[in-house]
Amino acid sequence: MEAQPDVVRSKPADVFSKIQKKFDQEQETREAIRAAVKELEQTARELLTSLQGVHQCTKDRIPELCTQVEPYFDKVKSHLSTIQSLLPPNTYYKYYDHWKFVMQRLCFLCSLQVYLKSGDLATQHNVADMLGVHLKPEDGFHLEVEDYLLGLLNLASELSRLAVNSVILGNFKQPFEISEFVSNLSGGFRLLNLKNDSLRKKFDALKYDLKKIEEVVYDISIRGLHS
Amino acid sequence: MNCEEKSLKEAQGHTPELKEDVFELFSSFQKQLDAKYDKHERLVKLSRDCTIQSKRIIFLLHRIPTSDLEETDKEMSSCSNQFNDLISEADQKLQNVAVILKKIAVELQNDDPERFHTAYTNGVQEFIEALSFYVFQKERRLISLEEAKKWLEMNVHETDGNITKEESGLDHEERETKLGLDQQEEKTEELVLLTIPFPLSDIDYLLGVADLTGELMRLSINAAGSGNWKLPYSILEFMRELYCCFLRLRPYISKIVSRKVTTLRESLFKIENVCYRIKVRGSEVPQHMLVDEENSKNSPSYIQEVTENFDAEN
Repeated sequence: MEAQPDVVRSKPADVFSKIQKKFDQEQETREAIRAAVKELEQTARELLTSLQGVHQCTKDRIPELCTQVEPYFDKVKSHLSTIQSLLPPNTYYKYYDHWKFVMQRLCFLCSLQVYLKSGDLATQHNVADMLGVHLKPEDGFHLEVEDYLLGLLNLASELSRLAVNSVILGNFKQPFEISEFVSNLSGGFRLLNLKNDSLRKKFDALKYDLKKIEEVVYDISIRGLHS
Repeated sequence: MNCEEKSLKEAQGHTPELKEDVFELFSSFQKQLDAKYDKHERLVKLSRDCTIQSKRIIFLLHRIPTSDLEETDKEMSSCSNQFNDLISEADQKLQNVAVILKKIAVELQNDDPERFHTAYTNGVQEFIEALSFYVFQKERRLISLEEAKKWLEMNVHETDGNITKEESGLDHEERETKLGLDQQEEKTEELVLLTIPFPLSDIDYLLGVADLTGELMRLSINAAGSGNWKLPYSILEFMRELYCCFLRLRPYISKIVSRKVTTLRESLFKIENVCYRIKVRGSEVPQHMLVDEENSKNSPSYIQEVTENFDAEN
């Protein structure tokens, strides 16, 4: 290594205090993000609580429930845009852990809303639009694929519960629809090459959801309750 | 239809309940996830190469004989040829590691480096440990973060960076297009790739320097063992300065840093012990016997203990 006359040979204490300053700035950003994420989490919680109503909702009342929760989605959008504004450019992954879990929950809630409204599978595109975020890292604050997929797996669990509860309400058609939907979902997931991470573990649990739904379908079919 | 598309179609055939649109959707997820995991793996491999080579550089630097080293900068440059040979060999090897880091930088060029940080952080830390140890052996001081960054940029320009098409991390289609370019353009392409700066983070620098203190502890023990009693005192002073720097850091920066500071403290105590023994024993024991006394540190059981600690840390 040649001598570098233009580089000032700083003392260790100076090097470290410079580093500390950078972290101090970062810490301020983190505190702000944490506060904003707390707000987002609260709204997500309220949204989840409201949507729980679907388990005791007759089929004709479902569209009403969906309309009722729309304002929460708007609130979520505005919280997310606040968080986006707090981020220095190109630092999504630095602070990602702060919102990772709430994003997974929001993906679940979005896909549930879409299912209840139209019986369709919400695409990553749909969910990103509902949340007001981008799809790709290059475009800015985006929806990470794994968070979206984890949301779908949570949806499968919720729907397996809904299959049971719709029978309680006397809706014998819904379990069949749910069965088809979740089978499709499961087929899609089997195309993925997953690593041994939380996504893989959650995917492994999907078969139990499927089993639960199949049992409901079987119980109905064998007694001819659906005709 | 290539291999992957064929197997996807087969998968669809095996799962008749799979609707076309769901199939399309998840096929694209498969591609996205595969690409992400593959990149992660490539980075892990590069990082491992980096770690292995850096560790060898550290062993090389330990082979610098401590018996005839003086503590002042002036006398250092005029000492044995062995010192100069080992130092320049280490320099060369560090430059080779810098090329590997360059390859990592090339992989990361279109991404946020933080996204894959866990994949390559160990390699970088090991490199910083080796680089800072090199600078310490040569100039008895700590390399700063800025200097480390500059060193990386400077040295890669000087190397004959032969990054092959596979190693540049370009994906299949990009590679095929590149092969269509003529030789001249290829050379320019490679040189352009070399100018991508490596994103050296503050954390990796701190962690690497924390690991350096372990090597300094070993250096001081070896020095005392070979009869050099001035060097442990210099190292002690240097270590105390570093310890204070680390203590001043606020703990929220990183849990890992806090953990390493505990190890640093223990290394510091060991060095203080060495200096204590030199001071105490030096006054009552004839010189040649003290050398033998310190050399008992080369006894199998002591080396075992040191090695076990080393393995536990790594």
